Amino acid sequence: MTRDNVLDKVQDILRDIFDDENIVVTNNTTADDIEDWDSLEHINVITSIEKHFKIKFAMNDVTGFKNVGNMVDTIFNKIS
Amino acid sequence: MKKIKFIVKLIIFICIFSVLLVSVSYIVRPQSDMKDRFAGFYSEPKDTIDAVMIGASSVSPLLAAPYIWNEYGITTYPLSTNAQPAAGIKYIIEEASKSQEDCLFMVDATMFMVEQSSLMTEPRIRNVVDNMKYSFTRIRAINEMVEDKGSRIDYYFDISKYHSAIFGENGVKAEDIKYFNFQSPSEYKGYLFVEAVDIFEPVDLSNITEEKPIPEDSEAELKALMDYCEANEVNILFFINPYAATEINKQEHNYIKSIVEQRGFSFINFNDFYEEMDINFGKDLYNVNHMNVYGAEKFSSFLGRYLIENYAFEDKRGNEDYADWDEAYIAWDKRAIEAKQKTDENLGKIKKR
Amino acid sequence: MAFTSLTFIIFAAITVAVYALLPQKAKHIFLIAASLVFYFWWKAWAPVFIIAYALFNYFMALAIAKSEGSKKRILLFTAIGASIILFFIFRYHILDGILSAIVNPNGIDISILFPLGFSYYMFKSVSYLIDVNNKTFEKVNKFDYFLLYVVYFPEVSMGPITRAVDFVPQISKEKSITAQSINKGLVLVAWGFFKKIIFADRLASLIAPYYSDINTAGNGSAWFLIAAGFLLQLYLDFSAYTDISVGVSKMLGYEIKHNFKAPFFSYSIPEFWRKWHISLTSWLLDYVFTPLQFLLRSLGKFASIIPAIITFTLIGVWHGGTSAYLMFGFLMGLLVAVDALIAKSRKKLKKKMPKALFNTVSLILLTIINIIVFLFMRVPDAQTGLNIIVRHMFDFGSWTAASTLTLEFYIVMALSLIMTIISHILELKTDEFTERFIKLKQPLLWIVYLAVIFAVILFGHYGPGYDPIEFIYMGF
Repeated sequence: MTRDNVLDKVQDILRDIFDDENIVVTNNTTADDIEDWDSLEHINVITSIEKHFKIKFAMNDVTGFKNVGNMVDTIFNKIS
Repeated sequence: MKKIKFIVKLIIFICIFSVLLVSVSYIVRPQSDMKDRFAGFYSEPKDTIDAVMIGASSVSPLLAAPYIWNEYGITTYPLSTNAQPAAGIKYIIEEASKSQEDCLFMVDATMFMVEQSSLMTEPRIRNVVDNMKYSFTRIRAINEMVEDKGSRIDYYFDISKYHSAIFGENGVKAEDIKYFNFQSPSEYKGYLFVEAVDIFEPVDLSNITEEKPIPEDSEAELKALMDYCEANEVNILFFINPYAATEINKQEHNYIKSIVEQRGFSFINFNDFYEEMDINFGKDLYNVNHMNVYGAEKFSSFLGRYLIENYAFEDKRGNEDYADWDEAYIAWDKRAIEAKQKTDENLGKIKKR
Repeated sequence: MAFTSLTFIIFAAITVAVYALLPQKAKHIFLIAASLVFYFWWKAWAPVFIIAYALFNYFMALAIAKSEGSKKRILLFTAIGASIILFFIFRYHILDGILSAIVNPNGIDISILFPLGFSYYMFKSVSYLIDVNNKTFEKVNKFDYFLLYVVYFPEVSMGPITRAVDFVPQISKEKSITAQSINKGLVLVAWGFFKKIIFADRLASLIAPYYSDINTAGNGSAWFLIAAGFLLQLYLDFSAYTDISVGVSKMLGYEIKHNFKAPFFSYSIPEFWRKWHISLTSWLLDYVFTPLQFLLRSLGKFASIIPAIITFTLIGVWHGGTSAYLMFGFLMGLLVAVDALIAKSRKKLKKKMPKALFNTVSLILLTIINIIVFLFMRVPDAQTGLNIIVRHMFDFGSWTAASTLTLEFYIVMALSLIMTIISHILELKTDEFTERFIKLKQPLLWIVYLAVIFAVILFGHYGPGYDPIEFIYMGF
């Protein structure tokens, strides 16, 4: 799986969680850019990603997420 | 360059603010006959007052300055507050001397018959200091009379107290802007008209020669005042105002007379001159310590003659510079007629009881 | 010294003046000294304690940064543990007995042992330790920088709780103190004074008698309005403090994030908390809620519910050890949890109705909920609060006219509401308004300043005619 695949998949996950087919994410997208992506929903994003990519994040990973790009990097490192 | 410009601007701002603060404070001070009296005094031109009378509330309805002017052409002015604390007297003298350098100060010594501790309360201290202009004299007056150092700031900046009442009953009205520099002529030259009256039995005090001491703290204040007058060469006359005095009162008057005359100061007890003044105890007083307009006329007439005979005051009637005193008399007289009518009515009501 | 006191005005003026004239390198040292003077003013020994506390955390952070694995964890927990123990001693007085036994015989009252605003610089220090541990922030190598972060006087006793990552980098930056930068800060400070002295304090003393004798207020709508009055007072009071804090900081060349961002213009409880007491909420979010949520993430919905209830209950009890504060926190936690549960259904509902209607109803509901729940921040215990709510507020029979309330109360409430709305708008557009304000031509600028100053002098709730009202958050 390439890094771009990961980004696409993350986009799908976000579209599903926030029930919005029009969401488009780039590496620079942050939680502020998507309505409803608050701290209560954030955990759903995390668990959904873990479930889908069959990985387990560590606390340290998660605190470093400043944007979608960070997330994708971490995911990609874990699956390669 | 920018820094200097900023600092200069800051200083100018602070100056403008200070001036405004003083003006606003003066305006916001509660309206009262004392404010009118003191602000009126400050508006009198320099060195035009012959004699200033300092005392407690007895003085306010007693000294009919316009009346004396009309009869004798000399200028007198009351600087009295209600329940005057003795400690404040020297500061009033100091303050008044700034604009009236050589005037005579008549001090009503009945103030010394009351224990000072009962007079050194906030409202009474404020009656004195909050009717003075801002000056070092006022600051020293506050420092002496207000014991609690922490409260003094609320006295220095009296606006901190009075701003809470600007919308109240005694609140600020548009015309109060005239007090912006705390100089506003008093219509009746500080006289307070009362229309009440009461009937008293005259007491013959002429044979009383014994002395009864006054309260210790008051005696101390009296001595301090005499020290001040000596040190500053103040032209002072101690007196007792005419009222329904008792024999015991007369003994206290005698005690004061001794102390004062021993130090070489002049003293006169107007209670020795009921006949000469033709006082009618059934009409001339409104309560034990205070006269009404009838009593005021009689006293003022007597006082005027006493001053002419004992002091070198000039008759300034006809002098253009004193035209406002003529006006004050006209106003005073007109108001006095009204007051006398009301007083007569009130007297009628009392007699019917 | 209270921020809205003459003493503080003089202190701040002198500090800013001297600070502006000092060379860059000396500025932060002077600021440390001024801050320690501020603490000293409150309690003579406070500077000693705070320096010792700062030294402890400073060295612990250095040690944590150098270590790995379990040693690192032990150091972190020890450091945090020490702070928590101190917090319990100072806030909940667990050692009062022992301390009294030691100092009372010497004629000393134990109250002098408790430092000012400990919970605030404790939060700052603990966030620093955790950030160093997580490598979110580089350890600070200069003790004077760390000390300034801890003692910084505009944040004393009421926050905002800045993070080291936001504050420390600003210390070494070049500070240009100009007439403009001072004006920008001064505007905020003046606004804070205006809000607090004229409105918050007046409102506080108007509603106080009802809280001391609960049965005098009458029932129904009267209590609802009184509780609303408290909510307005709390906002005006606390946001005013923050204004002064941020304003003074601007004058010193530091940018501090404001604690409020138009909180009442919100449509849900979580949104409200993102805009109210922001520095505290975000602190708890980052260091308590999110980690807990992460640890419990396998529990589905409960991954948010449990941390929400815990976090907000903590917010409650951080304010004080009474059952009322506990109830406040717990209720808020419950409401946030409920919000998480109904999020999806709410979203569906929102799609079905016009946006304006949905938002209006949400706003009204949020306001009502806040009025009721914040009541617990004002009463001495939960029982009293419940009493008021059940027996008085919801006594629908009396929901006709709040006749025990005076005309003055209504006028002040109305004015306070207007002030709140204006304040909200300013919070949303602070920079635009400040820019526009400082561009005012000269006589107009001074006239506005003089008008504000004299408004405070004439209409302010201070002086021998009134009772003094301390900032609500000062005891924390």
